[in-house]
Amino acid sequence: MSAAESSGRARKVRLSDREGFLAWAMLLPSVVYIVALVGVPFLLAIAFAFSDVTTGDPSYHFVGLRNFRAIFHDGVFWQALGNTLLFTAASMALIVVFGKILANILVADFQGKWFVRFLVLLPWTTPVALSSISWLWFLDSIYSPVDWTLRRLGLLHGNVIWLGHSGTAMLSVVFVQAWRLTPLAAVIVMAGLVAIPRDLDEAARVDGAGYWRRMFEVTIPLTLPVIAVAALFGAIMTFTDMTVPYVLTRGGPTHATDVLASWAYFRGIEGGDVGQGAAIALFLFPILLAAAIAVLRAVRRLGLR
Amino acid sequence: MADAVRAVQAVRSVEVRSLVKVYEGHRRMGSGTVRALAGVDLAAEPGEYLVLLGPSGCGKTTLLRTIAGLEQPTEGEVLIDGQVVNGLPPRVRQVAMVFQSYALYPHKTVRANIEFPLKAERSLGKAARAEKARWAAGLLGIEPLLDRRPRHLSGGERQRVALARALVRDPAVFLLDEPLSNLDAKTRTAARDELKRFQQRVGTTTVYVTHDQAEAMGLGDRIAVLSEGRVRQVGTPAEVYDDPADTFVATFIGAPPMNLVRRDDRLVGFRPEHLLPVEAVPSGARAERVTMPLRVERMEYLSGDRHVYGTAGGLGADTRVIARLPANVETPLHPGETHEFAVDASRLRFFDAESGVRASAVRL
Repeated sequence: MSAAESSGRARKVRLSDREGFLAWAMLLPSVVYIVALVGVPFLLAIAFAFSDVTTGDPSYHFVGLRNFRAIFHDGVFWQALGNTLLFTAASMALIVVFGKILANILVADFQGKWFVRFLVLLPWTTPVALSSISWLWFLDSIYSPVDWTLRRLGLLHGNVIWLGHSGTAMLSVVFVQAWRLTPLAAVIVMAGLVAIPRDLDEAARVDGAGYWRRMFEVTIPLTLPVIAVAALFGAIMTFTDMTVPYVLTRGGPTHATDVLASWAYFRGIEGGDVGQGAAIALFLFPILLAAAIAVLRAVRRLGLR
Repeated sequence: MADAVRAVQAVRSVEVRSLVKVYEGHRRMGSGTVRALAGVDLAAEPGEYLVLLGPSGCGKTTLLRTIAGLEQPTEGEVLIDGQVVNGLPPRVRQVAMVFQSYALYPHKTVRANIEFPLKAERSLGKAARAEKARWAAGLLGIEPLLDRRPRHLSGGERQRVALARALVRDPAVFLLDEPLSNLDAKTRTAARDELKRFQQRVGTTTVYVTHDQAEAMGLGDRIAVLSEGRVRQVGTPAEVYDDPADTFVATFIGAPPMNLVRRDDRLVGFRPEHLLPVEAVPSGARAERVTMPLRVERMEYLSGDRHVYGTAGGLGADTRVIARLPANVETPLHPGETHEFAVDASRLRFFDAESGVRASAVRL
């Protein structure tokens, strides 16, 4: 009412003053982006998963659950699923622990801090295909500098052939993935650490708590929601990612490092059976959805306390 | 239990000797060094309530944090219980601190908050810890809140939890950093009263930092007035009010502040409540009075008192002064008029015009 009364004096309301219009104008680009690059491929994948489309014969015939039956009867699928879970869990554990330690280093105050920060963020800023190739050299069966150093130190005779045995191949893939995602986790956790009021740490110091008690009873509980977010991001990025296994091992030796994403790619694109590839890829979806909901719930519960 | 605590604490106190704290400016930021404390000597007697009062940036919080061990002094010594504690971490200093924000652990219940110092100390078993937490909570009347989390408490309740957490350690000294500044005006008065009674009951030496002179006057056994990293004066509330050591203390304490009138190489000071219409100031053989004409410019009526703003001449240079007339002085005054005012000569204080420190009296 008061607005109507004063409208005589008020200046004309412009289009950019209307919140309803602004909301749409600002949301639209991202909505279009998400629909085009996430929604459409997602629906396409669902459609392909129930079809007999191959790269040789792209005509669409609905085949029901045939593709799913086929992949469930394939031992490689189950191996890839196990590998994915192991790969994700192991690299996540490393990423959370290293990320937390690195975050502590990043917030500490010392000489040459900017240089350390720069080094820490380097793996994150390097294109993953490029860095994986340098890891390929590090883990090379003949020219590996890791092996060379170990040999020189007398700790190793002969070569390890990191990527040639199933155990060491998985170890290498996990390690490189952890190396890659740790900086991201560190930055996220650092944001959480910085948000803790300094008073709390000082109060704990005056209350007589030592470093470890402050760490485990004050800092970690207060950063737990943020750590959970970092872990969720990392897990989803690891679960759906095939870059590191693809570049380092191509899923080998004999599927020892095949993850669902890489197996879907090999089956669907390189093997040409688009229907089966889509079915494998789609299998990831409910698992990720459940994981995302679980973590977000945990975060909300922590936040409510 | 409280008696036993008091007996032990009879020998304790806190002292700082020629304390200097210099903050090095950041080299790249180009900021210079800051002398937060420029040689502070101060001691709190056992059981004393010592208030550090000063404007923001005067070094009072730095002093408190240095006593707590959260800051290391650049020079000088900190003594607690007569022991030099320089370089020792906060946890071995037997101090307890209440922060301005209370700094309660948000993820812990009130009970866990209070028990935390005992857990950290590792001297008591689980049952003894719970017993002591209940004792502290009982003393502060927060037993019903023990299972709540800090976010569900009001400001006053949080303050009491912070005090209970400080109390369970049996500290040699309580360090309180503006604990009332987060409360609204109404709760603050009640909380101030409660703080004072609480300290009288537990009898622990307390160092209390504030910029609020009403808090300082109301709580302190003694007040240390700080400015620019130095102690300007230490004394009882009456001493710092009636006999300020310099013009800083004279004008910082008291609202409205002390009037200062320049006369040759002296500043003549008198409190607004002592500047009264001449007929309200008795004169006789024993009571001498100094009179001056006052041109009334503006008047305020505050809580029953009349605050008269005007220009005083005759005493020295013409100066804007304030007079505070109690309700029983009913002399009619109007802006624009000039009226003869007077001050009882015994109420005059003299300061050196250059340095601002107290100086000998001169005949007016």
